[in-house]
Amino acid sequence: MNQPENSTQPRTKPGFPARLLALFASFNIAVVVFALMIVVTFTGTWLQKKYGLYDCQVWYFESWITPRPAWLWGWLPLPGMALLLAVMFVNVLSGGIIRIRKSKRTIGVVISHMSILGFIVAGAVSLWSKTDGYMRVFEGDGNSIVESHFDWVIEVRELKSADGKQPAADSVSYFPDKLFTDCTGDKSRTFFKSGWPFEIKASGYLRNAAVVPSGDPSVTGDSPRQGDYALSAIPVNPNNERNVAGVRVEITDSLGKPATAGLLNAAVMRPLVFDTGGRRFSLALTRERWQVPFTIHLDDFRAKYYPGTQKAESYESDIKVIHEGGNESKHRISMNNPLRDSGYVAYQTDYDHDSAPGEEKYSVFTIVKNRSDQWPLYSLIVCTIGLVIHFLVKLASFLKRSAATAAKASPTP
Amino acid sequence: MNPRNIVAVVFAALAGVSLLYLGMSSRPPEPEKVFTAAELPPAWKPEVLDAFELMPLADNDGRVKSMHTFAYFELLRTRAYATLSLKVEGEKQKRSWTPAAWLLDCFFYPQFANNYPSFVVEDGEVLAQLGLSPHEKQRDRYTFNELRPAREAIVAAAQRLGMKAQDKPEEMTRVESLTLALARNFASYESLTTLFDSAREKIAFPAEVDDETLKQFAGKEVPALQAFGLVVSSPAWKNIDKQRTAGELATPPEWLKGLVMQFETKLKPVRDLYWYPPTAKGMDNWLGSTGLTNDLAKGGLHASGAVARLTELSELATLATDLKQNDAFQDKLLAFATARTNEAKAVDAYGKVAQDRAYLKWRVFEYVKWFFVLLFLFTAVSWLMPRALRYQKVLRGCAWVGFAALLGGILQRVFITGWGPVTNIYETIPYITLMAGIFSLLMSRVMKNALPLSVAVAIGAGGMFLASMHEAGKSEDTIDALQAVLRSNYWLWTHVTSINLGYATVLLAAIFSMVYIFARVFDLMRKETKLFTDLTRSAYGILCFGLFFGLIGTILGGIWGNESWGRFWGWDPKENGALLIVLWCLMVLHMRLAGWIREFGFHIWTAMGAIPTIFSWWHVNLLNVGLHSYGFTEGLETYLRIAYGIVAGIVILGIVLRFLEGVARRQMAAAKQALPAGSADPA
Repeated sequence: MNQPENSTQPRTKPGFPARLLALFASFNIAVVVFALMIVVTFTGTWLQKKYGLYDCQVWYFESWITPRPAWLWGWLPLPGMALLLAVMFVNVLSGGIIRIRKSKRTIGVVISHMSILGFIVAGAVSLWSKTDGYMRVFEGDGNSIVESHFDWVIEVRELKSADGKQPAADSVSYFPDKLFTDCTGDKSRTFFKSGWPFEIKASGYLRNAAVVPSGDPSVTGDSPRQGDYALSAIPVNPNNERNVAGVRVEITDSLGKPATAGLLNAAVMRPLVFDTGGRRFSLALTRERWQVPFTIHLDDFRAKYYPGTQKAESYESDIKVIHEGGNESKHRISMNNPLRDSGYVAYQTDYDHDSAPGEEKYSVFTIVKNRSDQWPLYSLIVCTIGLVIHFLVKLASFLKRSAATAAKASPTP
Repeated sequence: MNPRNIVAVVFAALAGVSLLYLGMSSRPPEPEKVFTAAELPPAWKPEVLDAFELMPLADNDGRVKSMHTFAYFELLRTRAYATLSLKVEGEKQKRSWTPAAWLLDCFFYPQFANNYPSFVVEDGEVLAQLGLSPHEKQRDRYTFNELRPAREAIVAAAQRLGMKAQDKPEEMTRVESLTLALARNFASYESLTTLFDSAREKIAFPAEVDDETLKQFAGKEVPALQAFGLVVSSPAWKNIDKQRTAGELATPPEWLKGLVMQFETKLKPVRDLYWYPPTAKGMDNWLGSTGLTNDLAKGGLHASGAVARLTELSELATLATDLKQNDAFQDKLLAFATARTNEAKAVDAYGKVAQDRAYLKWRVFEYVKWFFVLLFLFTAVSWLMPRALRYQKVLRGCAWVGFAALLGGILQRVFITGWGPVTNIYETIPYITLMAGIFSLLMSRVMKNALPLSVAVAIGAGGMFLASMHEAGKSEDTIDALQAVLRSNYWLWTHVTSINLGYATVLLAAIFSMVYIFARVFDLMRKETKLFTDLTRSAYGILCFGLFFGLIGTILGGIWGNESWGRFWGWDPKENGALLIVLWCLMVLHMRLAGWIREFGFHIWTAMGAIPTIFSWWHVNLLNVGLHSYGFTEGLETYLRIAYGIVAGIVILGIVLRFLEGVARRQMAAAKQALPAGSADPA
């Protein structure tokens, strides 16, 4: 009992690689992986009600092992979906493709197993290399800056110095949020850019925060403070786009002497400005932004509403894509009809809801760069072919068998 | 006892109990009150009702629909039944009101309509808490006039509970939910009966009127709407308006000031029904009477005909109050409704309004439901006559006819909307019923007995009951004005149809497996070995189809997501739900390959597959997370718990039985071994 169907009696003792392959190829692994995937998917879905989609995605579906706050079943850590998919990849490859008995009867199964590998690879490529953000373009205007939905940066900019010296050409630098999002509680981290005469020490990071006077009742003993102000923590919004991060920074000059310190909060529009080594810099916490190698110019935006409502029936943008070389092309983007151009995909996502119908001032596009953009489609085609072949093979054998039984049952005249 | 008889009894009992339950719960009994002829307004002429039903309306859900559809759902929501029937003195048969007739009574004869038992109150406790004395029956119908004394309490409850339902929906008690529903129905009803108030109620022109066109009305009473039209288009008003737009200080004369003050109190509609079609082709500026007054005052696109229209409305409402002139009134109403229809047609805005009415008039799904209930009883009988093959054949033919009719109803909706067969949660029900039923009937090729037929018919009846419960429960138009993202026939016909086909087939496989478990419980195996192999082959085959459609449908959904939102997979509850089903199928099939389960185990796990399917089909919509917000629903938790409970109960039954059988087998084997060698096995 409990033996895989395709584990045949060995005639000679198999070598180590073959035994290892047999281990990876086991049906038992497949079943266990499926069962764990069901548990993880259910848990990660159920908890979205409480923690929101973004956190559950990070904890359950993009992790190797689910982190501590996310353990639904008491102390028991669950394997993350990334780990399960990796195991599945090995299992499908060794069991469903390499070791499976190859015959006319199994060809469909082998093909569909191959497509599963395609899906897993597409998912991995997208997880590790996909960038996406949104771009807001006003009618009659152009834009080439994409802004992240979730990620923060500390933007450091060199300004005209106190004695009027102009900064060098590359006067802006961004420090990504992975440098400081773990600097909560007592933890801190120091980072710098070579050539700039100071170091930044970040501490007291809060996912959702506001700068308040230090006497505010919301300020606790743990709240990061600076002078008369403090960063007060706001409960994390399950809808992660709504969270406004805050962090405390201390600047030390090249001699190691403290230059300045301050509280950075994305809701505060004014940057922290300081002088050191005869130069002047500004510091601000903002959404991560990046430039794409083309400009989207919005010629016209149109929304059609259902009569008597604010509910959009359709909305579309007429755009001009201007490449760095200067060549232009005109396109129309609407819901379900994105534009694919030079490795990027632009989607119609949103528009100006505050203006009266017919007078919308801007359109919002999601700009995605994903190498595995179309791979799921190709995998699906392979998968369908495999499953259809398998179905036909099964159908043929079923018909043959029932014809045989019918022939046996009916007496010959 | 013959196993077939047991099945027949079980089926018949199931049918009887569910019918009894539905018969009792779906329709509260009508009050016994007998109306005298004087308590009822004149009956509507058929041609008037017809024209009114066909009149287009741009409803506040954004859809242009027939007045019949609007009236249907208003009455269904308020009354829990879309017909009003009353006993009338001296008439043998009850007189009944179509939704349109009821709505017209609300519009034009509120003094009569307010005495109709239009409101369903699900629990007398609701009224007690509002300070009213409830009827004897817990669930009963009430008139507006009975509720009116508690108007203030009702309005306050609507506000308080409306906020609570939004902020803390999980803390709403049953009585509170019912109170909120009643309060909303009350407000909605009141808005219909007061809709023509400004056309009915008069304002007095002062004796001194200093204007050429208005002089004739001096000292007279004129309906407010008409008066507004006349005043706003008068030279005196226009003169002041001109001065104002030029930035000059304009002082209206005293007589005009007095009129404006009267307008402010009399022109206060709570609701506007948009039945005036757009002014030109391609426009969407549908308007109601309030919109007309605004357009007239601001010189909007509807301004040119507005005075005549306001006058027409005023004349209609005034004429209606004089019952002696009823003939003339009804003729005028006929002309009014026909004019709106023609105007809409002239600007190509009428759309499929006529077919929209036909859909709710024909009630295809309703007839299909009762047809399947009938077939269900006949099929139960067929189990008593296993040899009456011709009888079974006829029944099977009837089942095919039933599903063909169901398909017809679905196609009627497709024709009206112009979109694929499934665009909202309601439409998943008839579609899944159809697909599961057809697959079950097709299994008659594998299983040469009445079982697939019985399952198909049970699915047909059960599914259509679910559909009508869903329609009545929400009491909202079941056809939606689609969100921009859904407006893609390519994806609606590929992704949505295949994923729902996946739900249908996995559920069907689970049902066959549950039948297997039951058959095992009744120990039918001794006499009917063939039945068991057939059930296993069927459930296995259907589960494979479930995997095929579920997998393809889920991935197609991802590709659609990649085309509309920029991501293939977002771990959104609806996506995860579909994934759960696919994973479940894969797990069960691989468990079988791994040798973890055989026949009985396979059925236990397949039956359990109903739980992720129900979770994905219904439950994820309750989480209110993610991008699939067009499916969000509430208030289903109890039903879902019952459904999970039933599935879990059957599965546990199977597990216990499997365990007991295993113990018995081991004991037998041990006993056999203990026997002295050479003794013959009796079998």
